[in-house]
Amino acid sequence: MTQLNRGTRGRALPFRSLTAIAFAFMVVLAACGSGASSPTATPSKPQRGGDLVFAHAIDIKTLDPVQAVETETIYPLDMIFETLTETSTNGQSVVPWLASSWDLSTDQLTWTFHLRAGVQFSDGTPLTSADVKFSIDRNRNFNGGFSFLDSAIKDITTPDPETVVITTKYPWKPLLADLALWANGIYPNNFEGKTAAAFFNDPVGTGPFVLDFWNKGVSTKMTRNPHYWQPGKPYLNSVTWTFVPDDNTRILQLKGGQIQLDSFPPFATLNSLKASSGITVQTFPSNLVSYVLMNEHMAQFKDVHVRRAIAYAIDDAAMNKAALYGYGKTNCSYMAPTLSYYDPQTPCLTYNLSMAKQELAMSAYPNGFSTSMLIGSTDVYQEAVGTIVQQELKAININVTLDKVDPGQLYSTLAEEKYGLAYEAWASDIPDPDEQASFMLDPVGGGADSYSTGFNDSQVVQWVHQTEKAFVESQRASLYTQIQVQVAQDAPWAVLQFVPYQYAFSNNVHGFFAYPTGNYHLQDVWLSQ
Amino acid sequence: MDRLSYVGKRLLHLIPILLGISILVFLLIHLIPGDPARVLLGPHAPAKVVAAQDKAWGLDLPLPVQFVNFLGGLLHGNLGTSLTYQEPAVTLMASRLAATLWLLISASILTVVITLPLAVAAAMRPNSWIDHAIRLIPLVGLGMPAFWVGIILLLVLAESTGWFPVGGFGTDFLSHLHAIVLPALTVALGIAPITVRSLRAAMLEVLQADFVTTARAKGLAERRVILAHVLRNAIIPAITVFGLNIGWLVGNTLVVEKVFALPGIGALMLDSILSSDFPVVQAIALVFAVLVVVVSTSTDILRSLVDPRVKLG
Repeated sequence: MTQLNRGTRGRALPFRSLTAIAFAFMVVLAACGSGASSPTATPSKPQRGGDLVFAHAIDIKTLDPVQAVETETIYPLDMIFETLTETSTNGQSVVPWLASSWDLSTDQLTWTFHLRAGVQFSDGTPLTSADVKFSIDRNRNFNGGFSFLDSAIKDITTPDPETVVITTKYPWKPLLADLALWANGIYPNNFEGKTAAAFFNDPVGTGPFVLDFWNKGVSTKMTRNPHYWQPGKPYLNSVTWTFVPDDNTRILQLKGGQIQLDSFPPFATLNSLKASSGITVQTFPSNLVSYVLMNEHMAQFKDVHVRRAIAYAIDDAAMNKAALYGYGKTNCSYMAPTLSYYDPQTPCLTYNLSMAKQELAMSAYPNGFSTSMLIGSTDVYQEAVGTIVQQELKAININVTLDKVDPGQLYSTLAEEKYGLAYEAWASDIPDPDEQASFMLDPVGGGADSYSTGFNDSQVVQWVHQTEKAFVESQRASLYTQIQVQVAQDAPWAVLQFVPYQYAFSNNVHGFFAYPTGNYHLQDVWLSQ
Repeated sequence: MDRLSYVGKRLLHLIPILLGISILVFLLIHLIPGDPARVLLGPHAPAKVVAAQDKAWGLDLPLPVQFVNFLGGLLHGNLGTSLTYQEPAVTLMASRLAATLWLLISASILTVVITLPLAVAAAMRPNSWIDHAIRLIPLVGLGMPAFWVGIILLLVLAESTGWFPVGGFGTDFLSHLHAIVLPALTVALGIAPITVRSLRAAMLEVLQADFVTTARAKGLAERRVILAHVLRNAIIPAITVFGLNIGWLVGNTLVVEKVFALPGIGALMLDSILSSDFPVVQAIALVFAVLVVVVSTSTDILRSLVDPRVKLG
């Protein structure tokens, strides 16, 4: 721009004034702008006040918990609607939340939840058991993307306003974790007489924040809930989630002080962000693990030796350095280390080209074959993974063509099982390994043909069902160890990396923490002035 | 043909254009594999739940039936409901139209502001170093992709100096004005090299004309010769080039809107394509077609206003 303005100097006198006016106009406009904030010394106690601006690459799609699927929608919704139980800090159990305690009957079929005293919705009406029954019944009957997690529930009754009784069809150990799912968030009974659409335009919950506005495709603002049950919280006056799709723009906004929190900056940018003054980069242990899925409906991948050969041929440690810039960790188990019953002793099919060749020689395809690999076209990380897998499998004569598709097509192609290899990543939505085990290992009960791979090991399926009914910790742990070992040997997928959640934020943001399930508690966040 | 009947004729042309575009877009988007119900419900949703959602949206019907339903809605002014936001596509577009119009209008103004002085300066001193610089330097800008130019402008004029906001659209008139400068400049820097060269070439030609010599011989001030005689005659081809490029720009706003986080129609189009939100994609394609025709018609009328010899029709 400077060059163009200088270019108007000289002989073009009649027009110089025109350009000068244009430049002056820009400068005047620029004067309206705000400068970058500078970090200050951190006070020892949380300060009340301030407006947090949090940038997401993906817009919020709905305010209805039962319809929320994307993380960028789910996490803000957690600030309005709360659940009976909540994920613990380490992501391995639950803590009391809207229910302050619970009891389990001796036949392990009846759970009695005692609601926390004094909890009010943001409009001041008290939380009652009728609200809980209405909300959870709605989710389990909705046919939403996550309704299946409530399928063990037989009935919900409300003996009094402070007590909720949930009866299950069979003993069901993961129930407490299932109830921590956002889709089981609590809202007022019968939507306070409104239609669902009208209610979710102006929702009422027990969470720390209240919706101020939702400008679709632009931003969503929430302000402090004056009736929030945690004394003194939230500290912030408001939180605004802005939709900024471009990674570079979000980073520049953070550097310029226009936002205070950037969710999921690309791993490639983390080191340079760390070097920027006034910015903190933090990675949080997640339960996200990435995989190369293998479609067993194709003859090649039905052959266990082919699957094992591929698992051996992929150098996941090198991939971690190349694609995740070392921020990930290699993983042997299909489960994330943050999940309970994760077994670090799970034997690995770690990178070993010689073993890969031996396995392929034992298969029905000793001379290799050609296949395709499905990857998302909008994700740099997936493209890097695809390219590396393509190169590494060449060493065992498996020629891979990359099939890059947009997210909509990716999900459909996976679900229709029209692929050979596919990149995928799984993050458990609840603090229990059952959701993942059912979905990935039980082709029928999980409802997804073992993550669309067709993997079917009847012994593994049996163990998965046993874990759901096992209330003795040691018994459950033992079953999960057996499952992890067997799955590692069967290699229905090549386990790539355990991937952390990455955030960058201004130094004046304090108390931000991402739980292994991905959610965060902005009621604990405060800004130093 | 007078201007009014010309506009009427162009509006009539819109009908087959819109019909053709709606058929093309409908077929293209339905030929691309991808199930919006699967996108909405996520990869973990059981197949029977996805099938139920498809049925609820009528996506299980044969394609010709879906198209007839779409056309029927169109004739009643109903462009459908967004599958993602569960809101009428028209409402969704209307909320995004402002940012796109701001971008198009501001970019047009900035293009004129950049083009006029540079083209005149170059034409007045042909083959001088000024002329060479004005012809060469903007070409560098032309070779740069818009997203890159946008990022550089954000880096230099927003993040480093704090002069402008780093993306966003603001909440009121002044903040919109403040926010639109850099995206508009990004667009203008892409078009200006073409319009500068076009106007410069036309001016050089007109400067050789007899009436310019006559005007100078009459003793008119050079400023008046350039403004009243040369520029007025030379600007017609530049207007045509400018109009063509603005038409092209309408279909390419999505890059600039994405970089600057502008909540415009281009950004909505991109999101809707990625989430297979068919009704919104169809509706936007129709609106873009209308915008291109409107810009093209306006360009023709502007030419006829500048030069009464230009015949419309």
